[in-house]
Amino acid sequence: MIRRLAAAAALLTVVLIVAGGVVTNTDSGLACPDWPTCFGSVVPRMAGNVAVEHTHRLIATAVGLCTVALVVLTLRRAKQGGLAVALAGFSTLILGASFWAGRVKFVSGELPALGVALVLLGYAAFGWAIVRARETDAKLAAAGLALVMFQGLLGGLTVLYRLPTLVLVMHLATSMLFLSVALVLALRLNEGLRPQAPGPSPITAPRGLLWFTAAAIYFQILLGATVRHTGAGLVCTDLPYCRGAWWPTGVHPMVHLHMAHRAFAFVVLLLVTWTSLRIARNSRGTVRALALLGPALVLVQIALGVLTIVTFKDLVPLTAHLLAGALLLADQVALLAMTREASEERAVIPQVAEA
Amino acid sequence: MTCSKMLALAAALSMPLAATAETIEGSVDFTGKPPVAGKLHREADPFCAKKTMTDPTVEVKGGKLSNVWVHVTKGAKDAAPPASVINMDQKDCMYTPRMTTAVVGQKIEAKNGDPVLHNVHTYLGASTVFNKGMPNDKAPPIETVAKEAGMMKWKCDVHPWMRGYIGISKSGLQAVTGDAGSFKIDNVPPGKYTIESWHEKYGTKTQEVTVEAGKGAKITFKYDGTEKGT
Repeated sequence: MIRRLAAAAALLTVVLIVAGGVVTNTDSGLACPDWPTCFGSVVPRMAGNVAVEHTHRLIATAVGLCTVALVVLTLRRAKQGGLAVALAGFSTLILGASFWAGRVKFVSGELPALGVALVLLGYAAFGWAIVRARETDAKLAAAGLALVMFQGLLGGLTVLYRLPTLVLVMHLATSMLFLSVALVLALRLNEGLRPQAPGPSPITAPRGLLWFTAAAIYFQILLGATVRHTGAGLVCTDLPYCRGAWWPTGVHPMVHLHMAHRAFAFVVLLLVTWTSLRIARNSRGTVRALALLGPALVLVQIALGVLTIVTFKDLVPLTAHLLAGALLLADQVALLAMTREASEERAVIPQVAEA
Repeated sequence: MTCSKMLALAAALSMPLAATAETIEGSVDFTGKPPVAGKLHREADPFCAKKTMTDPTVEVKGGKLSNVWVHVTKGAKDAAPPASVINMDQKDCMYTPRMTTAVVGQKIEAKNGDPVLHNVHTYLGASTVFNKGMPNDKAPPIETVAKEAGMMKWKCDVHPWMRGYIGISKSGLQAVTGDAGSFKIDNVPPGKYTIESWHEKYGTKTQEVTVEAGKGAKITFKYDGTEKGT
């Protein structure tokens, strides 16, 4: 059950990211003026933009509940039921204080300092509990819960402060972090995909390079989110140039932001291709397939970026651009979770030979 | 029948109709402290940056709120679409007018009066109606028809501050508040109606009104600035 739940949480997170993209791309972010309720209700009339925004909230709630269940199950497996109870208490404190503060902010316009203090206190306690968890799986599940609650808070702040750019970018950044954690947890809990699993010897990879590539993809996603949320997506509408030049000068910084996102796409393409080729040479099965999928995803992503511009940010290519970015990051994170450092492998083999 | 007789007959037939067509008039009051209109950041496009403009989202003069769509939502019969065409222009990187109205079935025409690219991205609710580019002022107008009742939102993704609105109704019993925050809906038959006001920032308010023959009706909507509409 725990395996299926972890896999479901990771898959549902991808759906959640797409739903979040649809919220932004249909201008539905403020369709529900309040948070956590929508027009004071948990079951508002589901029509138009309200349906889009509230569906996003409902999927987020489902992801949150899956994560809670994973925390409980992993801690119970580690015989740390007491810690699960403590985490439930800390979560209640964080969510209770957030909802109360959100309501006060909506009604009075002021965010109560007490609410903020209680949320910070809850997170401090949560951090303490994560350290106390004995198993890595439980630590990951608890960290995932901390992230998904933080993501909910950021979602609330986007509504209550009427879509501030920084919070919107942080909202996407956190979603990608959570996706990575959920994916690693799902892979760890599914035997056969774990690096230390019995069976064929683990596949080695240049993990330093893999980490660097994953970080570059994450950075590119943040650049894209900044382009999206500052309205810089169409400041250059000619391709491949921008306003007739590769790098126009004497223009607004938003133009450079847009071009930086375009240029960095090719850095990502080079990094992903290099990493993928190195892994594919010494791998087999799923890992090899994932390695080869990387460059293909970057090419699809670049094509979707072009389509986004030529269709003037049409809903389908724009949302698919977000999805492909998330899948590319997931691809590299999965490779990190399913491979072992080459030097570790070399250290293991002589011991086996001597034995 | 001669032409003059036909005209006389037409005038006689139209008299009872004219006698029963009343007006609903009123105003939209803003009782709170109006927000200070901030500068629009249009610097990313050199052409748009030539003119400095402030955010026209909330315009209050003398305690009256302009650009509010006031329309009958219940009690009215559907009307035939007028032959006139509703124009939505793009001038100085702004939609002009910011808000207007149309009747279902009425033609709408979008023009680009600027020498720069605008894309006309229109929505009804969360759905895109159309999304087309107009490269410059030489681009042919985009022609469309108001297909559904509701608020048709107009957006330019190239210049994200550009917003326009066309309130579309089936009955045609509607108006937009002008600079004085007042409105007048003509040709309203006597009866009971539900009237809704809609503002792009402060959302909707609803009132019931009874229009009596020979009297018409007067109503006032009130916003205080704490409303959080969509």
